[in-house]
Amino acid sequence: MKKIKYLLLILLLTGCQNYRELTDIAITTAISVDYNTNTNEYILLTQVVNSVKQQDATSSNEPTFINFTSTSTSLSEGLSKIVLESPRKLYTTQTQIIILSKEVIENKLNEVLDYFIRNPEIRGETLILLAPDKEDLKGITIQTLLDNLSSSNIVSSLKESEKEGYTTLITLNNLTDMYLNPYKEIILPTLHIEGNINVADEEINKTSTNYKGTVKIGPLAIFKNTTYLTVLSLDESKYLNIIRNTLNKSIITMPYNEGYITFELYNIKAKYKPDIKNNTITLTIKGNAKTYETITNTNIENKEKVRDIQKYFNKYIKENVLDTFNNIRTNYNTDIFNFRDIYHKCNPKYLNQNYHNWYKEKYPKLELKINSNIKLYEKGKIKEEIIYVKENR
Amino acid sequence: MSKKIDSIEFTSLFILTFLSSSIGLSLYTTIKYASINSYIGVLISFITSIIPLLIFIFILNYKQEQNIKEKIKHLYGKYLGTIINYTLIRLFFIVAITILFNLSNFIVSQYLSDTNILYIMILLSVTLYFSLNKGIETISRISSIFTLIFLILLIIAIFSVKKEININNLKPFLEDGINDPIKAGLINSLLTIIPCFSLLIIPKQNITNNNKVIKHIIIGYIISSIILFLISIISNSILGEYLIQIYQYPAYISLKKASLFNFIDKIENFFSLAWILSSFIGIITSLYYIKETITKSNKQIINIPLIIILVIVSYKLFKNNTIFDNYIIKYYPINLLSILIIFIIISITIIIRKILKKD
Repeated sequence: MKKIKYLLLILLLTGCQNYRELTDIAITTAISVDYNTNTNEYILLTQVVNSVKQQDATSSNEPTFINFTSTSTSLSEGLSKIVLESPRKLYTTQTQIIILSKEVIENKLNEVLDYFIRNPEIRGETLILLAPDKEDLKGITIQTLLDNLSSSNIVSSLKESEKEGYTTLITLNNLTDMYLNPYKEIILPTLHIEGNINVADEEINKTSTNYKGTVKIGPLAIFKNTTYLTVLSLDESKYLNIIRNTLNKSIITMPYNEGYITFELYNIKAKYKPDIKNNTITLTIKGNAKTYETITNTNIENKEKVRDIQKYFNKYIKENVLDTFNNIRTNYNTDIFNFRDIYHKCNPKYLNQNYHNWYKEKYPKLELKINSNIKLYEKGKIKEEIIYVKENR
Repeated sequence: MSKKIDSIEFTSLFILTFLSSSIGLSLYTTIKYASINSYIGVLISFITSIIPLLIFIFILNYKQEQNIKEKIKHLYGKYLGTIINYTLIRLFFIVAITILFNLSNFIVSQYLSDTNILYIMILLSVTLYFSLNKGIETISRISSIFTLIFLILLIIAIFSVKKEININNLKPFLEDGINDPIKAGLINSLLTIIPCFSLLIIPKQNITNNNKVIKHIIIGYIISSIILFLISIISNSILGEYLIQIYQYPAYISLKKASLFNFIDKIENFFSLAWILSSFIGIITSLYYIKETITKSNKQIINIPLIIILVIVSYKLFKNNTIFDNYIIKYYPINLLSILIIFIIISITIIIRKILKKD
């Protein structure tokens, strides 16, 4: 009986069928997906880590990653077809980013989401970016210096841009939620290539102090349903993030007294108070600001002056937030601010009655009232303005 | 071998059996019925489960030296008693195959997608076999350690996820009325507390310091209900109304967002480990009930055929997880309701006998 027990125990030590040797897998860190509307085919580009590269002189010239391409009518088939070129099967658990083209979002978003969200290897926290131009999809082929993998380079840059308020991180789960939720519209961070892409994917791109070609994180792209509308400006992205309560920190420069003051906003919180009866939303913005630069010839030691600057700054924020809201609403008529969702959460009956005329009647007449209460908190290491001290003392 | 167990150990068996259906069965069904208001369903089930809990305590207190098999025989005589006992064996066997498939399916869908589910079942069944061989004292001792691990892992998981919680995702509050959450609550009651009735196979007299066992069970019930509620509200508030409906194991997915102190990631695995442990105990208590009812003494010979049948039936009955999902919604609650009805009848019989002063 004991022997049988030990024999059974051996079963536990064998590992499972999912077990794969490291030398048999192609660790995928990024996938870009494009769609050709003429041939009805997906065009896939993957970034795979070069796990053969050693830290010695013989392999120092080898790239740190390899790109594989494939075309197919279905995503899973496309990704599996990569083995025709690659000697190893794709291992997508380490995928950091998925880059989608406009054509994919407009034509095949449901299929793409279904594949990625269903796939147990891909985490719902994988970041999604939009490539506004076809060329931008090649962002994962670029050789970068500070990060060995361009996908890590993009992820780090994206996360830092988000911390500065230029963009928002959108994960696979977020995108699925925006797509499934009938009260939300899609927004996506973008990336674009600058410089010469033909040289950027070669080792030469890493041997110069200036990249020959590089990939940059862009502002947010906005959609209505799944129709691509535009890429916002950096400032619009920041103010949109304030309205959506997704901005925590950002740098804002305000013209003042024939000069300018630059503030760093932090701990920014936006609260909504909808008044559905009067079709009004009151947005209260609270937080703190540090003074980063001040070129205004003003005595910032004076309490009254600081109070004036604070008042002016809050007015400035209020105007810019309102301008961003009005511009997006007037030019694109898309509710990327999630106001419809807020209405639905407060009064689902009312919203369901007005769901179909939201864009025709309710949204165009919606009044956004803004209260900005950002407090100027710090001035850095010096108490006064250099210009003011120079000219007045 | 003495079959004495401690009242804390008995309570930990109760807690883990209660939570064995937490993320797979309970959350799945409450979401199916009440969508974003599933946490209200869980809250309602806290109240509705009190009645089955009282029945459990009432039967446990009756004829403290006898287990439920003997109590049934005492109440209904040899012939009818055997029929009821064998009906209960069948019903608890269904509970065991359901939890086994649910657990194996969870492992296959989230971790080992290329592995055949039968292979996972066999691996689990080997461990089940060893535990079953060791008897209730070892099982209860394991479960008291498991409960402690479970609670620690859960606290870590909840603590690490608190940043991701967005209360706005819980709105709109009761958009389609209270009926669906009530339905969800009633089903949830069945899913969670009914498997605990298998613990009635342990006579109260076999529990040391059994004067405290009722108090411990009530505390255990409150702790388990709070855990279940927290799991439900966290999943709802992290994933929101639309995402929560598409995932098969939303609690596990919602914890994927968590990281502890910004550098410990993959916290969801802490939670899944805790849940695997509780499911394991859930299956063992049902199997132990069957084993004790079938055999007259503690014969281990029954363990191997019992486990082989368990694996074969679970594997053959649920050909795929679509069949299993439909079964959980349509048929499994009926099975659990049947168990509840039998125990209600037993309690009524006890009350009548007490009134008639036959005992």
